[in-house]
Amino acid sequence: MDMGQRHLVLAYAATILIHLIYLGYVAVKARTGKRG
Amino acid sequence: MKLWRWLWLLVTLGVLAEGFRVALFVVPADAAQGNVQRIFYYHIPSWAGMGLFFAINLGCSLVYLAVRNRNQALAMKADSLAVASAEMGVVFCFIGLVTGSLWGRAVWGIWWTWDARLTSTLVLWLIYVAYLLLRRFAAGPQMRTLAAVMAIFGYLDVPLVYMSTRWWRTQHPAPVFGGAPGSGLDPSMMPAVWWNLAGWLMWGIFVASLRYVSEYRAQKAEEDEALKALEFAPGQAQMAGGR
Repeated sequence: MDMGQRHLVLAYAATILIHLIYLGYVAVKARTGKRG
Repeated sequence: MKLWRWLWLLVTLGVLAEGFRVALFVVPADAAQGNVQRIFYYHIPSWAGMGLFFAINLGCSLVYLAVRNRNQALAMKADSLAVASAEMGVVFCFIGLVTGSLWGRAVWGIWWTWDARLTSTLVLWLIYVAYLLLRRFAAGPQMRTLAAVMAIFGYLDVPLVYMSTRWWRTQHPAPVFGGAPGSGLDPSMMPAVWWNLAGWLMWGIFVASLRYVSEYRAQKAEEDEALKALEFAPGQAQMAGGR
């Protein structure tokens, strides 16, 4: 796997991971009902 | 979660899966850059999402300022949507910066450079992070008004980001879409753009709608508590006065 392919995988993985982290944050907010 | 949300999520995941398949396995690799150019199919939807959600934030902030003294219910809805859209925009902007940096390292040999597009985008991200921090840590009734004003000024950086590659020719490539004559993507690559654009925007709408609901409920609960306290206060005062 060359650098281009490695960075392609990293970019796709980072996109999905960041969205999932934010989804987790939204889920916690919905559960606790706290503001901020 | 309501049925239509589950259906929306199901369709969104299907579109995203198809977008992933088309981007990686169907459309041809770029002749000059090879496979790394496929980052484009996740990079562009991030900027589109950022543009959409910061525009929604701007609209909601304007509505909030216009109606906050006349229509409390609408103002609360607008403010809740402003929070949800700002957060979603910050997430998309951050992903755009991260994927751009990974792409830049592979094709330019550097993770970051202070060129016009990158710098103006980083400033935009910081402005909206500051907006969210203001909302998180400031207290009092003026916080929402201040945040709405800040959102309007913050949005002024969006056209600057968009035009930066047209006004200044620095490290970042010229615009692919709507650029100079001859710019654009080969038609055989466009399905990957459309699928991922649709998928990630649908995802953004789904998550932002969940966030909107929780923020609205929290603001409503806060308002109800404040009203209860006001109802309780005269009785307290009377008791104190009677002693």
